[in-house]
Amino acid sequence: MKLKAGIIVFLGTNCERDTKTALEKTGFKTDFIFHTETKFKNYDLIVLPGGFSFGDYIRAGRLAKLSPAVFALKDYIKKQKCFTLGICNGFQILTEGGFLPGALIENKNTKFICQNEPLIFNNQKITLPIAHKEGCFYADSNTLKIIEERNMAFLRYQNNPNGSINDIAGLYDRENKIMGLMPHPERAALKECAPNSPNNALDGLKLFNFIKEEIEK
Amino acid sequence: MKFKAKIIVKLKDKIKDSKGEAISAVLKRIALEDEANVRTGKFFELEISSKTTDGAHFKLQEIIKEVLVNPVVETCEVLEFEPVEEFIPESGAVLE
Repeated sequence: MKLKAGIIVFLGTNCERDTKTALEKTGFKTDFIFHTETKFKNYDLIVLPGGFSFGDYIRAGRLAKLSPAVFALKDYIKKQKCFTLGICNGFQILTEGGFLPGALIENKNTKFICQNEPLIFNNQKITLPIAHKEGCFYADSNTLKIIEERNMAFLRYQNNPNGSINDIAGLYDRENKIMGLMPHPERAALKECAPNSPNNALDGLKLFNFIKEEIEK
Repeated sequence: MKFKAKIIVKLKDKIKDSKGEAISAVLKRIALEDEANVRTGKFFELEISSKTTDGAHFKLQEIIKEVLVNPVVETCEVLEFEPVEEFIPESGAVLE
């Protein structure tokens, strides 16, 4: 049976179609969930896609964390034991909402960075596109200690473009059930969408396949 | 009663403020101030309805905690918090 994924769409989300296509290519059945919904069907994976939810007003992810769907997600994760993935703005929503530790602040060069970025994922060198202005990961020393001790940082930058502490680009929660990352794997999952991907690698699929394997475990 | 609050939210002092650094560099370049140490932030002005001052104060703290500030990276300062004088027409005045 196919795994099911729900993609939460906020006002200002703009990566939901790419995420849907990438997930379907990986073998998921997908639904969009509007941010006002509070009752979710049975999903194996909930995705918070990239974009600029609520115009990034106050701070990126701040207003989206107060959406009915995100409040509902807190209970849903406990009851359903589903996997949760936040990409870019989704990662920002997860940190703002307290699902993941730390916070994402403005890039150290104050610029919006949009480029292919070399990364380390499970001791493997991959390349994924990044596109963000508030992607500099910050955590205080105690939190950082916990993150490193528990191997919660599953994705790191090779060249750290935004000033993230310990080169962190992606993070697990303590139970390894919630994942957040700043790069966009969905933009490196289809040949048509990633013409500039080095060696046509489509490394985004590696990440989606990894998540699929984790769910199927 | 209505209350008006003015709030400033900024990054904690130990966290690098890239915008502030850029502004400081410009101040130095135009020879106005060599060590300005600019810190930037956001300003919010809002109104709160409550029967009591304590109630309004509680609401304000909730708004700050839930919406305006992320305690991991930000701090805030309430610059002003006072009742808004409501307009009461003088007796006998004709309102058109």
